[in-house]
Amino acid sequence: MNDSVFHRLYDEYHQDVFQFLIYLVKNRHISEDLMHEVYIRVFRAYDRFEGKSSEKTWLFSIAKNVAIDHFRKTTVRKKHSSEFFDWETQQLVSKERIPEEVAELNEDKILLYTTLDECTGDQKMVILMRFFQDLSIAETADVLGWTEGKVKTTQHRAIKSLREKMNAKEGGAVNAE
Amino acid sequence: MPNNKWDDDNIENLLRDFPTIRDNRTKEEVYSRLDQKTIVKKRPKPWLPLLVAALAFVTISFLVASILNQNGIDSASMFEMQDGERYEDKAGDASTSIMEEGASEEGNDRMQESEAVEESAPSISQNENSQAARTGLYEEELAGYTLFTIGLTENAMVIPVGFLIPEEQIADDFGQKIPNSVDLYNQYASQIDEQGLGFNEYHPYLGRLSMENGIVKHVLPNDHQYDLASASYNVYISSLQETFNDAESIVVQNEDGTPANFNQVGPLEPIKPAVGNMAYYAYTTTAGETFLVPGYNMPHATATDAIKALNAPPSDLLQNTIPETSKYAVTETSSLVTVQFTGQFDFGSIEEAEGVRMLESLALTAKAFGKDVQLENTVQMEWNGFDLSQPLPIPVVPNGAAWHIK
Repeated sequence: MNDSVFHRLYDEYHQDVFQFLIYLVKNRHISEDLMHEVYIRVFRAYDRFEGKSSEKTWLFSIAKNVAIDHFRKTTVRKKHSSEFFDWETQQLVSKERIPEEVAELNEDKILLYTTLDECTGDQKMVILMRFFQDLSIAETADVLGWTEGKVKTTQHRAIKSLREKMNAKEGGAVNAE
Repeated sequence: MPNNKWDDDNIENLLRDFPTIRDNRTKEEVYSRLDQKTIVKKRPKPWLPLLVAALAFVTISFLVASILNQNGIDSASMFEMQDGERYEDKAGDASTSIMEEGASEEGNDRMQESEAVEESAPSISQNENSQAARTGLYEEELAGYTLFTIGLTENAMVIPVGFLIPEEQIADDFGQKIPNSVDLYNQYASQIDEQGLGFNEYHPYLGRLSMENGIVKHVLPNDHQYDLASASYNVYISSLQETFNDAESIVVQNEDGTPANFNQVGPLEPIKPAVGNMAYYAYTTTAGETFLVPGYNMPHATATDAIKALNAPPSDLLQNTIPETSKYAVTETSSLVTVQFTGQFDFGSIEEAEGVRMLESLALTAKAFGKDVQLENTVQMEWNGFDLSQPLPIPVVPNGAAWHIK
């Protein structure tokens, strides 16, 4: 691993991976820290990278693991408790305020973004990868270590869940008026 | 008014229309932070004795082992630390060496240096023998050392790790006394930088530990949380079993001497230390290091059953150590388990680390039933220091690390 590899990885993927992280954890400083951790892990494992997956999906899979570790650490976990953190079934909710860039969007988008927190971790991950990062089904499957079928099913359930939650909220808002 | 403003297309279109969020830092800023970390981390933490720096080698060792495997070179899971400041790579492989502090060329292998320093491992050197890829500790390696085993944890999994402490260090810490597992634990456990090694912060246990007549007594404070959930309870019990495996039994008591009451099981019965009748699988931590661990709470009736189970993952957390495609028959006598591959097994067809892991998991699994294990129908009769015409050597501890302190 040398400097030129860092420069290449940065040029090709840095902004995409950063965007993925900030949409997930909502906070710019935390995203910078996590990005740093991504590089550390990439450098650690770079010589072992076999090219079975693309460099892009490999980087995203590392970023995904880094983010999950972040959520695991910030989930209430007392020092001597080692309860397993199942990111797929638990929600990946950051307590941070929404990013500035999202706060400037229209109400519908803000509502949609915040409703994502109510989805399960696997659904949120798939939505971010498929729609925010524009990864293909195959790429998403590669990042998550799933089958393409599981990605499709999870995406379908995520959209359905978002639709139901959004309509419920919209209905509540209308009724309240 | 119907609540159907949102449909799938509507949502999908909106999701596709979120703005790009960029990292505003320059490439140089990002890079310099990585580089800065190197400089900062070169200074050892003042409260960490050299011992703990050496412990960090567990992580590094597995890392380097994996890197070396990529290059087709025997790799080591055991390293020697020459002193607190300086390291040299005995293997002489520049691509895998961790550079000597202050001597690395600017811009050369910076990332690798960064990684080494981040792990608080000032320098490491590779064990150059032909058995370097082994992860376990073997009897012949114990001469001149005292073995300190401890059950470290990650993701509610307990990983047994053994450290070889030089006799000189033991003499300094204990004088003429021969320390038992509790003595070793009380002396060293609190100094282990578990997080730095890639594990969860778990040790030392709350309360007081003592050992008398072979019985370990753990007196717990009232507010302990080892029974917070079944996972907590299982980790607690398994880690006790792995850490005090020289004890006849382990009793857990309240301050008043009564058996500790656990939510999941009520008053705790004395615990038997030895982890027996289980198969040994591979477990990869979040940090990417792979260890051998017993399939806790999944006992098998016979060694044959346990070894037959090794080519299929028993859970999402554990990985099989024999390739799923490998077919084999298992027979056993009162002292020997024989694994006969249906088709010739070629160790050249799998990665070196996987091959070693397979052999060590077979030996450890057979050992869990008090038996040896021997392979039949392998392409190689001798591979990577293993004489496959004989029963496999049995590791004393599944995962090992060593340190030398001057």
